[in-house]
Amino acid sequence: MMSDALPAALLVGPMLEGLDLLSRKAFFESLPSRRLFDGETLFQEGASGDVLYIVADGCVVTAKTLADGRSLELDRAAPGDVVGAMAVISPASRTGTATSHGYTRVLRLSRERFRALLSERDPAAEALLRYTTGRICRRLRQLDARIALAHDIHARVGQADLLRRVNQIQALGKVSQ
Amino acid sequence: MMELKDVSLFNKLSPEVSEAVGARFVRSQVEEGQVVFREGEQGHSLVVILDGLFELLREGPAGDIHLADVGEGRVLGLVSLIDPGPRTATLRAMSDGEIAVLDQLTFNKLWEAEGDAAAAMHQQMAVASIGELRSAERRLAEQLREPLAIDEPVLTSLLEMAVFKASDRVG
Repeated sequence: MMSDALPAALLVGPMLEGLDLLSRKAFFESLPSRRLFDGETLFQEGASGDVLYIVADGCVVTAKTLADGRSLELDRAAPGDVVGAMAVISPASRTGTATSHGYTRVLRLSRERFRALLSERDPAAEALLRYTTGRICRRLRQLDARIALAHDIHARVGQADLLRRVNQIQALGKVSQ
Repeated sequence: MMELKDVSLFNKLSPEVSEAVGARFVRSQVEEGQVVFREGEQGHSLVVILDGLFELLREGPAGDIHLADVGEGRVLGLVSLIDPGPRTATLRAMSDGEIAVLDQLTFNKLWEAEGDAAAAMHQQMAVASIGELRSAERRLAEQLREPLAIDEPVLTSLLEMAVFKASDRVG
């Protein structure tokens, strides 16, 4: 089936760097795939995570829900990216809810299988881990920049709010004169 | 004074692996006031503090901002080792001390020479970087707990576009 063909983003992308095309194809084809409709939930924030997903088609957005209901995006994964790897590599609950955007296809790799492959020093699993760690570090850099920007914006709003109060007090003073 | 094998990154490794990886680190003495790495410069190494007191600084509009005191056993620059890029802070010694440094090139050589040790170490580094990512996610969520105090359309949309959204392609 054409729709099940592995996309170039996976086959020649950076995920399995160092492996030849046949080994890449064999690894991806060994993983069961799952189709998602637009808006379908792949995993829920707080759930225990024992599967990681590789995006073959479409897009998966992972977001955290803040106390007041606003949604804070943590990650956007396109074809050739990995989703849900954190909870698999370092067991803990999912930090966000992952939802598909548009028609999406993902490949599944369980923690058990990933662990077994890593302990055999399987080249594909090792390449996947190295790719994932690199991606986590880039996400960390991006998140640090967002934290700095959020800090800056909130500080500016604080200043603007102070200015507004000062103006109000001055206006009140004029009225009473 | 601390030994590398007792540092968090190492203490889950077998003694053999810990020794193999530890042997690749370069130890050096630092003097009070010495800058180990500077914010903005290209970083490609991991630094472990073995002895002494250090501080992390960031440049601010009115001089350096003190971010944190760091001491024995702290691992810094994990991100720079895995994904070289500009340092996000300056590390400066506040007393005489000792550090151990592992650079990316040496770590890559370890993959060729002692693959098992490199793979085991890499798994520990993956877990450590995930720990850092989780705490960064929590910090961002904490910072955004309160909606903006006043109606400022420009700042609100900037927040919406650049802080609440993740970018499509990371890096």
